[in-house]
Amino acid sequence: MSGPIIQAESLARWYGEVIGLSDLSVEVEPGITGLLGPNGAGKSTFMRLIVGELRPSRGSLRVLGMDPFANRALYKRLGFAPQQDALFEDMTGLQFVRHLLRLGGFSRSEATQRAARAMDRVGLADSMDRACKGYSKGMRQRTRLAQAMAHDPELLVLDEPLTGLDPVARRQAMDLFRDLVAEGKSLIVSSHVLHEVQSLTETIVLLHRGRLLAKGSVGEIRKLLSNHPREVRIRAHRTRPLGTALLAMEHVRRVELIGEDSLLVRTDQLETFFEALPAVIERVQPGVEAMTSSDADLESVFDFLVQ
Amino acid sequence: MQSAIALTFFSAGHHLSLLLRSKRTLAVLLIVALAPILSAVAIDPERPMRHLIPVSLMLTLSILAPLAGLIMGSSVLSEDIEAKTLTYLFTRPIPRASLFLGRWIACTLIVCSLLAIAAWLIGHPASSIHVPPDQLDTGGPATPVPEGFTGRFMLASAFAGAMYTTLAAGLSTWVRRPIVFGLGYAFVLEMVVANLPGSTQRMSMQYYLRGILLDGELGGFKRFNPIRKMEFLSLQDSVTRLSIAMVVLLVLGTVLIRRKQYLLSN
Repeated sequence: MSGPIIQAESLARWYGEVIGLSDLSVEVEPGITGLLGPNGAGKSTFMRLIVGELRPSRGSLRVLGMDPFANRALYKRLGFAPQQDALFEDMTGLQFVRHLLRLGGFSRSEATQRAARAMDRVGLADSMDRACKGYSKGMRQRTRLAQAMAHDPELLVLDEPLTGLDPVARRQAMDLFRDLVAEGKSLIVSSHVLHEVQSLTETIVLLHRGRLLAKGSVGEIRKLLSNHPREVRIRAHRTRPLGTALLAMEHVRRVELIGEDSLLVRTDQLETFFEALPAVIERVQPGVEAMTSSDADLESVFDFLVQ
Repeated sequence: MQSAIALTFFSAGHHLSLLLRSKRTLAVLLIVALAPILSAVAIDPERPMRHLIPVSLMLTLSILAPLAGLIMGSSVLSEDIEAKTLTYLFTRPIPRASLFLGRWIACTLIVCSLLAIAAWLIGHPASSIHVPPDQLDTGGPATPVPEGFTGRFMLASAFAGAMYTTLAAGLSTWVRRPIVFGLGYAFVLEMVVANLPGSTQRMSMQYYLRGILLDGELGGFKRFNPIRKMEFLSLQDSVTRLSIAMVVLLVLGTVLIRRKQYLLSN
């Protein structure tokens, strides 16, 4: 499909007085798109609107050119892996995927073949005949992925698909996502972990408190984030002269003395700060023992971008 | 259309296979089994109607059938809403109405079969009892079981099961805990309405179920105080009206399930 796969125009969804999504206008192109935001940002609400489980309270939404609510034609072309950890517990993984395929109109033999293939692709070929209630968290996550892709949909909507996976399974899942895109499918992957999405796709939609914060390539978002104040903690023998020297730097906003041997430095431009720091250390000779920089956590980045 | 019908029957078959292995069906079986067990214990070979009246009218039609139907019917959607598996079903290209009707068929089949079997187990032994002519006391406790009673009791029980299953199924498309509302209707509202004198009782399902059982004639039931002064419809009229009510409930259920948004919290 050429053109956007999802078109949202002034999209809003609220639950009573709680706002799930507010005035969201965004277009999503084919390929992998990361839907990023902290918990409660509106990612799941947006996904549930995309898969037609919910109706917008206001605005419009088109998915693959269709109105998604309870749209059977769309469900033939769309696969959804929800976030909630729910499976048909008494069924085996294979039965679970096969049953959902049968509900999609596949014959028993074709459904069995497709289900087995999907379970194999997510790395559960050996466990697909075990009951779902005995699956580990990671296996359950992969079973949800299997059911979403078993009917070969052109759009996969995956709500936090990497949560609960161990590092090896996570890498396998990411490889699988890339393979699916190489096969011409589009993926919308939600996460609240920046680096997770970053390693998957160049295209990111940032949501925060139900609103669109930013949309673009990782590079563009990074540019926005580069202005986010970051903190560096330095442990040294002579903290006072070092603090004075650092305060003189243009991009250093604040220097805080912690105890007698540590400084907490807040800077607008982390990279420039690290470039300039060796010269200062050489000049002041503070006897630096250790230096740590806190990674920008997503919540604080979002808060910064909102300001 | 053909695929929707096929999917309805696929949904029915699948739900039936799940239900047959479920604790819910076991619970319904135990509830329904109470009636023939109590009947076998209480039977008086000389006065079969004496135990048959309370067992059929009071126990089976007014208590056990509503309980069984409500428990089974609430499995149509509630379990998937509780377990949050509804998402999988509602994001498949199956009409929601097919899903609803298929599951309703499975539930109704089980409840109706169990209740009809229970009714036969109660009615058949009682009907086989021969009351000697010299003990015949028209309208009295020694009255023989009216002809065709077992068949009508089986039909009334099956209808009762189907009606209360349909009620719970319809409620499950509307409220989260259909069984609570269903029990409230069956054991609070209907218990009152069905036993009021006058035409008010026509607003209850029980009135029509009694109509099926009695087929317009009180016969051996005239000694049963709560109903002796009531008038009942014929079997045919009762079946027709209950069938219409059932279709209305099913239509409402299918309309609701197609339009409603089911919020499953994470």
